[in-house]
Amino acid sequence: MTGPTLVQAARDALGQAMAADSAVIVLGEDVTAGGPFGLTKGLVDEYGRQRVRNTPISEGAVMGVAVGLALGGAQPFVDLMFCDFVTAASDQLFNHAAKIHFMSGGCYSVPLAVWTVGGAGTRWGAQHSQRLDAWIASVPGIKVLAPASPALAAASVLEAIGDPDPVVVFVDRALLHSRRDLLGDTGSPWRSRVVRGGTELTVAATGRLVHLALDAADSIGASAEVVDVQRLAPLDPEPVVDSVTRTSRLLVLHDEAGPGALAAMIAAAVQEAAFWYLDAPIARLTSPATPVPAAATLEDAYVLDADAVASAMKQVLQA
Amino acid sequence: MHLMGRRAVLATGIVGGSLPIALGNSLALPDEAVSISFFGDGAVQTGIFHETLNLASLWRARVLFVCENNGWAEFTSRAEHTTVETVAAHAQTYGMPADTIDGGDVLAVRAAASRLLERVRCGNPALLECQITRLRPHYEGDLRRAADPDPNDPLERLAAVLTDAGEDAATLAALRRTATVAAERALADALNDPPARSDDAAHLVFRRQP
Repeated sequence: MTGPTLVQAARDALGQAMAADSAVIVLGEDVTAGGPFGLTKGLVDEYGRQRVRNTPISEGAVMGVAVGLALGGAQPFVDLMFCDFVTAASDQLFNHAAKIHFMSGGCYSVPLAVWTVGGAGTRWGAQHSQRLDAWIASVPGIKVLAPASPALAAASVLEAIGDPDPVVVFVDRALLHSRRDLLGDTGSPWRSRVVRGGTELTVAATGRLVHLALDAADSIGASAEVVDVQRLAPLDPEPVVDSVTRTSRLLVLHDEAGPGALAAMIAAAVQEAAFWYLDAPIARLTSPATPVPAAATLEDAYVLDADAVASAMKQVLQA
Repeated sequence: MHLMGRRAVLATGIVGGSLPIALGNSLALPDEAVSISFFGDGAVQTGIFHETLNLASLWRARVLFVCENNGWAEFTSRAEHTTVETVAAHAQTYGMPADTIDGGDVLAVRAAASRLLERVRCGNPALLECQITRLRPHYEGDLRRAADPDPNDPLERLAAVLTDAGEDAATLAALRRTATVAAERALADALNDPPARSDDAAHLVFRRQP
């Protein structure tokens, strides 16, 4: 594992997109300083403050400015630091970016790319740790990609910038500094993909849970087929359905508070399309239905770990 | 609200929602162009109004913010929304040139807008507060507020000014007729448009289907 980390790969892709097209403009809090995770590191030196725009803590206006830039012919890329802050930007993202193509009868489109980071496990408290990907994915008009490897993070950034519609790239904080490659990394970020072949069980997962599923399958010696569900909106469950027709068992993992909206959507898609192939009830594993706790013992209990995943896999195999 | 056109016209059903979009749009325009954002006094109490004015001032954006202050937001008077006397007072906080004028006086609006636009073109975003009376109810069919003839109707006032200046009645009548015909034709065209096809909704969610 000597390649770039996920955030370095994303940064390089962003730089590549800025070099290729002068219409690409980066906006966000602290972007000239590189951002808290280094996503925009060095970009201001190469492209200047007109194209790398530092903003005040005004997420609503920043997202609205990005919508206006997009309507005016620019290709805005918003670094929405933590996904918790989508609450402050939600009117512009949900009511404007997502609906302008629809409401204008196709006269206008909003080529807007948003990068955001979410996930628990670092004691940052309930307002800097949650995953709101299911909320974003529930609004028609927004595409959501959740890459699980450096190569797919880079591809997702390039696709988000090149797309004529609003695209949110949702990244697990736990993966930002991961260098771990996955099977099928040269494929498209727009399709969910099999990252481990198997015959006894299908595990559908996103982001860091893809890696936990791979590790758990190895540790218990299960012939598990792991599907990386990386397109969350519009949800792409077809590779999961296809896998279940071969394995007849399904475990869905998603990092979200219970009862788990995205996990439920994936389970429902399989139930509708492959019910008669199933040999056991579909199992879902999410975090509990609470805000993310900051207390160490409580947060550790909240975050899904490899043991929890391995145990859930065993249960599905024995059901 | 909700109007969209083929030229750069964008209205929104969310009060205050178009202000940052106008600011962003101004950043994408060629140097000589400006964005003009129209909104009512109800938008002034939103957070996005203040975020946008702050950002426009910080970035010296070429935006003219035009507030049509009719003293009402939906069914509640401005006195029940805020203690700030004028909308233009907010511009001072952000160091923006601003003016409060009689918005029913068409020529005064033109003069003030021209003056402020000179500042805007030099990178000084500005705010124009046009104080007017509400000519129509909050929405068509609102029976609580009858649409009485209003002495402040800007078109009637302009007609009176033109008449005083010697414009003849026949010319004014012709102008009214031209405008009425254009509006009626637009309405007829809209009513004659074919109804939406059943698959239009699904096809319009995205420009590019993933």
